[in-house]
Amino acid sequence: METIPLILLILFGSALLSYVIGKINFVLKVGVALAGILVSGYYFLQLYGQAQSYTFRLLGFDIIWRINPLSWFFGMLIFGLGILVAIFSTSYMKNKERVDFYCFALCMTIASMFGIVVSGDLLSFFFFWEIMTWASFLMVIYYRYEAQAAGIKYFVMSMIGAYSMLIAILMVYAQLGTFSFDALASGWSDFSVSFQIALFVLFAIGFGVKAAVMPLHTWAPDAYGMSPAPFSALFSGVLSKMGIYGFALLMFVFGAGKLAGSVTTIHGVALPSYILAWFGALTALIATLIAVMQDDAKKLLAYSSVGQLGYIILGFSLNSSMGTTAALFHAVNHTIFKGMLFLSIGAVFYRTGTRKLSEMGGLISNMPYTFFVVLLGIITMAGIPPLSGFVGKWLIYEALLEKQMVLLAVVAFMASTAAFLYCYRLIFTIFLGQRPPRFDDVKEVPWTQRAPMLLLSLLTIYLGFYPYGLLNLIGQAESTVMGLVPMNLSQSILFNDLGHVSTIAVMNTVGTVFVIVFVLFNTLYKRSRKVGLKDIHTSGEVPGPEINLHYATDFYQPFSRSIRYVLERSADRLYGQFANNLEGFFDVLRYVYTGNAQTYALFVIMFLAMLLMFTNWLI
Amino acid sequence: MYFDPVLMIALPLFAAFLIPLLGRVSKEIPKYVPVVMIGFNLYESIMMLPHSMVKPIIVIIAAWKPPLGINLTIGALGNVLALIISLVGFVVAIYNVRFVQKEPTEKYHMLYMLMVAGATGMVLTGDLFNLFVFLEITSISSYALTAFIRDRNGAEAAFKYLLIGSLSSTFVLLGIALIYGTTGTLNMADIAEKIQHVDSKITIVALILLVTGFGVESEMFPLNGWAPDAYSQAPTAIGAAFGGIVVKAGVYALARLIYTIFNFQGVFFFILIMGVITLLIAEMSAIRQKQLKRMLAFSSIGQMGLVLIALGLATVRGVEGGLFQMFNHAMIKPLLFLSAGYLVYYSGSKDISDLDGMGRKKPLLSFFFAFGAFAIMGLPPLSGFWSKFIIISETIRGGFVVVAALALFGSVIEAVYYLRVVGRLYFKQPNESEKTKYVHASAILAMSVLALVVLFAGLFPDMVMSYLKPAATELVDKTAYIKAVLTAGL
Repeated sequence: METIPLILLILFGSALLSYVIGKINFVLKVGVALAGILVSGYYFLQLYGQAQSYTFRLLGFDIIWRINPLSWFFGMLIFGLGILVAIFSTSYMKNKERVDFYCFALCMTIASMFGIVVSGDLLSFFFFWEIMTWASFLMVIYYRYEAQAAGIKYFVMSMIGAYSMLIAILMVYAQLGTFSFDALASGWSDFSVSFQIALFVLFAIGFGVKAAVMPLHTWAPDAYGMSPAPFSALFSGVLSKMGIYGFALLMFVFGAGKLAGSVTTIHGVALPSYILAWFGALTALIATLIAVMQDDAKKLLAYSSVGQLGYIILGFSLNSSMGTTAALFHAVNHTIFKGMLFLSIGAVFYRTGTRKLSEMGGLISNMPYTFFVVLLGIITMAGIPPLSGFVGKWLIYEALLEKQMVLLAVVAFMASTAAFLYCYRLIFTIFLGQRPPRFDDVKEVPWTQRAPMLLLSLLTIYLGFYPYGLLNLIGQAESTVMGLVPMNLSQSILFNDLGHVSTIAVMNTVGTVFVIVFVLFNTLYKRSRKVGLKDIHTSGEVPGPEINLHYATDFYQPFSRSIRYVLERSADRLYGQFANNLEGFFDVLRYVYTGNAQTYALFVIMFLAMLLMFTNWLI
Repeated sequence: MYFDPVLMIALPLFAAFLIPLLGRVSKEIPKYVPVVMIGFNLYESIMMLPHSMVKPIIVIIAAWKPPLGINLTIGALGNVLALIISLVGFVVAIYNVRFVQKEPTEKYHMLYMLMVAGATGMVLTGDLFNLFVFLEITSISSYALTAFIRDRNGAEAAFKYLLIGSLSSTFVLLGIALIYGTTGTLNMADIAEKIQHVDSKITIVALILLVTGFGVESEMFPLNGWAPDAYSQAPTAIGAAFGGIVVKAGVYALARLIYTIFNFQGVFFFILIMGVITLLIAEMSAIRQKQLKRMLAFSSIGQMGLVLIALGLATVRGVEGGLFQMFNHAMIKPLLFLSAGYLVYYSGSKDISDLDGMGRKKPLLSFFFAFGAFAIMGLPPLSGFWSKFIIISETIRGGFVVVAALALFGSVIEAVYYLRVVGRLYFKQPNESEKTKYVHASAILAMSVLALVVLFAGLFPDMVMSYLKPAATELVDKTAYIKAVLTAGL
């Protein structure tokens, strides 16, 4: 059997099977789901470097499923994180209710995402896109009661995005008579300019909702926050990447990048793309500012995720080889570090039962592994050398400077700096400071949860040290699928006209400094006394455990006052009001149905009379 | 091997009048008569399918050849609709077996049989006046069934329905009289042939009268005032049957009219616009409804709006989409109504706000409702996705991008109100009070059949489509139909 349908069959099959068999016992349903994901992952790995395709006809439409370097690249993210999340879930979901439902939705989401990346035509792309929406919706509403609002918001916004995309897809179909990507790629330039721009906008709305570009992001914090922690990792790490995949398709496969030839350009970038770049940059900045003020760990990560996706969009919209490389590299980074952080927050929640940063503290000695993972995670997220986050951010700045977009670069840089604040907040409030007494007996999480997190940490170290394997893969995707000339690479140095950086040199420098500091610290302060976590003295007095010395509440008050202007304006509230007003309007309108038989009879007569008066309407 | 298609109408009619007598023998028999009779119709329509796909089956009654005598003309379209009607009718009949507890049960079964027989007659007949007669049979039994729960609301709803319904049948009759007066024939194919020679000033009036008349049954705005009340006040199973049977027959008549009999091109655009308006107003009205069944009624109107849009496109592909949507709606809406009926029964109130936590208490019923809601929203891989996709695709291909956008906007509204209800089922804490009565196996069977059909049609849409394609072709290209009827006797 062909590999692509086989993988889809295994994944969808295991979704149904784990739900049906899952009624019997826990091991079986988790086992089926995990086995399904592992086996399909194994088959997927074998697709590397191959160019398979599988076509059939459905309802008179040609359906194409194919694999190419770009789809392999995104498929790799799906299965990489998918498998780790599934392993993490085995212990995380133990003794929880409705695990069969969880397994079903997990397998379904992974299957539909794989379907999206292997789709070679717009119809199956949309088909799997919709399945992905409802499958992840099921996950958002897993914790039933409080999740309703978040779930409906997510679903409705996704639907608006999907329908906007649908109109674009069908407009293409009306023009070309086929859904295939290839036909669109070759036919794009024949469209009129206004048609091209309309398609660009409609597709961008569709993908933008999933990628949570501001102002379409309002569902993301709630949905990420509400879904079970392992799934939040997948949600932010991979599912949102489907929007990014969409942008990659739009810009480089469908041909929106070619717009530059026909409309006004700014810095060599077509105006619509340039506007998109600003959307990306402002998303990065504003979401970061909001993330700093979050007290809910998951919401903090969610806003940070929105911000990081802004960078990726920014990279794509530059319409250059460098920008695309940067965007794709950062996408991988984001998958890795958001995976690490969401899983660690999940691990902390698993042990403490809270996600409120202000309630935690001092868990470093209880959960050292998790602490280590979060530490590496925030280093990557902040883009500090020597981990892989640095490479991604470096590339983005370089790409911006290459296009001489200084203003955008400044905004991106500001966002990156502000990100330090929430990174620090995350690690300090959870792991450092004073530990509340009720968490004294908290233990480290089981190995099934530690292993996925540690694996991801190893990956980010590896990519920081040696990003060239990945850059090569991106280069392949660019040259074969996206029609770009890949970036100039050598084995250890990234360079272009502006300058170069050697990651190995960076790694060595940082390593040396680390060793020196470590040695100095241990020799010079050898005689210092080890102090227990709660052995804190103030002015000679020993405060009791009831006195709070760990001010994790009201973090960053001055900062929050200074950005109040941004925080006060909430797109979410605006949409809420708009929806309410609209509903109020509908409510008035529905009194057309008065419930009065005479009125209804009058309607019939009026209808008849009107038609008789305007008969030439009908001829 | 199929029997004489006349039996599809004659047997249920005969059996309907036999039911009161059989009821004297035993209370149990009337329950099963509809199951057997409509089961026979189902068998017939399945067996005829391979034949009618190739060439319309013309049944000549009493040796009066068309265009003189009354004849049944079972083309692909009529057969597909007869199949839909019998399938829904059969499933609802199974549900009825244990659902109808209120006396006089035998009258309920009798009226139900009449309604199904009338609707089947409407889609099978080749004679315009006969169409009117069957319309009357269907409507009158519907009025009576609406008032079956003999309370104030039921009576009021039935009266509204009666008022609008009789207006509509008056118009239909006037229209038919005009046509008969000018063409001198009642055979639909013959009219189509001769109407070209008649002054269009007269025929346009006939068209307007008939469109208004059948527009009432097919829930076109603003002629659908009866629907919300009738759907919500009639017994649940009847609400399901309205959506699956009565309205389908009404839409069939409308389609026959504008495609086969008359030859006006402007009417298609008019139907398209009316479809959008119907859809939007219905979805907007549904969003703040407090009663579950009323909400479903508005959603049903909205779905018919989508069908009207498809019919207004006047392309083979568009009509295919419209027929697929009719098929889906005929499967999904009864599923929603039947599960809603039990949910309402268990919560003890018709209000949506009293459904809190039913997902905990009645998982299977809630699952069926949620499944139906997902299917009608058009989520893949359920069948609603394909029909919506084709219709929107054809609308955009026809150049009506704004219409498509508005229809999709309606779909978003639809998603909101369905999700709110599904949300209540699953997200709210259940109330304490609980009726400990189990859902009957017959009801579970009925709902499972519908759900399986929806899933199957979604996974293998080509199976359904292969039957809808000849039906759509028959509608759009009327020459084959006319020729088949007029040469039948030769």
